[in-house]
Amino acid sequence: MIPNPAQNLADLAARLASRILPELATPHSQADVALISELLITLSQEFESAIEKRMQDINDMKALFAGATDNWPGAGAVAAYREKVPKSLLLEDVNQLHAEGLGYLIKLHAWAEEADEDLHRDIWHFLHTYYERHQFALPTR
Amino acid sequence: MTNDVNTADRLQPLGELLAAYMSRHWQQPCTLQQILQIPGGASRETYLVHLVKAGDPVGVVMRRDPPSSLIDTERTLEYQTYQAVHRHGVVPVPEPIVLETQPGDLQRPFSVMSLVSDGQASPTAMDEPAMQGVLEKLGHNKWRLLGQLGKTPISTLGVDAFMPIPDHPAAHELAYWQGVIEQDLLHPNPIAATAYRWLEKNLPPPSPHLALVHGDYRTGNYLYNPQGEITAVLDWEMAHIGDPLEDLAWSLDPLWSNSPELAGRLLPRARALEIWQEASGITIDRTAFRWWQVFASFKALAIWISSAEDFVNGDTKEPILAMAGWPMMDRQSRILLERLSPHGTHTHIPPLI
Repeated sequence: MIPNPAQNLADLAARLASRILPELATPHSQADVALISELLITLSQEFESAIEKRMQDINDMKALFAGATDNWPGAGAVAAYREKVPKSLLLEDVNQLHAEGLGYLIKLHAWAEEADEDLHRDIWHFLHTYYERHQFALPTR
Repeated sequence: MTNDVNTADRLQPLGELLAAYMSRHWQQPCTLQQILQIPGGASRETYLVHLVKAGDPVGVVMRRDPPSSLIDTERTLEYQTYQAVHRHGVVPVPEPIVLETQPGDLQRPFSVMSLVSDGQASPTAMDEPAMQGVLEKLGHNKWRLLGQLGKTPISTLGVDAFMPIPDHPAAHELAYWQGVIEQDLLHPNPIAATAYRWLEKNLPPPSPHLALVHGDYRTGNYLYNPQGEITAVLDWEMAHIGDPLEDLAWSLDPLWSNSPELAGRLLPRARALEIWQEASGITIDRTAFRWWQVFASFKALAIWISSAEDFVNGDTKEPILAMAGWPMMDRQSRILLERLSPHGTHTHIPPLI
């Protein structure tokens, strides 16, 4: 067992970029390998924290949904969502609950834009946290 | 050089088939000298082909449909746009030579254009020391040409003969790209949904000017030389009749620059607007332009969403699709977040102009 797959993926990306890429003969192959190397770095970052980040999102959304008033037509559905947990910690199951929560969040945001200034502000704060949490650290090209 | 041999082996039959096709098209003997695949371009396979036609060397670029093909009208429309722009000369483009809409010997439809040998498209090559002295000139040329395109009547170009004329370009484009998102979205995207609501609520009035819109006018889609001249504008596959502010906003999207201060890695954004206004003769309506800037990021996000779907469900597994559908979608989402959020800090992403 290799206990740190994320580091291994990053190491493989580095090897592709430093050892394999310079020996390729055509610009097309070089461009492909450069992209694959960057994607492996992206994967390595995602691999380590995918479950953790999605569970943080789910918990943050549940907290936001607690602030949704009964005036919102979706209040019943998010009350039920707040009780849910993923079927397992496999990424597929976590993704399913994550997607369901985001679906409710989008509807709640549309409603709060018109009807609830405080909730609207809280959702924007969540969105900042959400996109910062999921940001990849890649060089700007 | 094993790789050279393998690459030649892989592409040689395709090049020979093209040479045979061009012999019939030109009605002159034509043989293959060399064929190379050009990187980038997820929507078409692009090949640089050196032929010998009746004893003289001729360079051409072949763009062939990928296995999961675009619809016929898009391919034909792109080719007709090249013909119209080349005929008029408002913007330099490669000369279109032939469009083959039948799969035939080359297995898939393709087009052939003349090779423009003077220039390169690489955005990162602009950062090299040799280019620093000509970036202002290159930027001037970039937005001057775009302004000229915006000024040229669609009837003068003749594109109204084969392109639909939308009653309300902004509404038309928004509906189209929202449709792409709805069709291809793999996982809910809250900022795309927020942006759509904003764009719907703030829709500008119908455009006072109609022009040929390139649809992807950005760094990377034109050839430039070390003298700071633009020698060809490429990739017209998203061209349509619309509001010229659409191309201007797209060209200024932060995704195309490595610096928040510079438009397209070239010059300050305000300077780009001045050059465009002067060349187009159009005074920019700042409210409408603000809408088009948000729309540019929304459209880009739609393309990256579509790329992700294509990578996951399509046949080609081109790495550029995964790159677009993952890290680029991540950056574009943050651009939209900064631009729409009441709490945007604009530390790394410039505000709307």
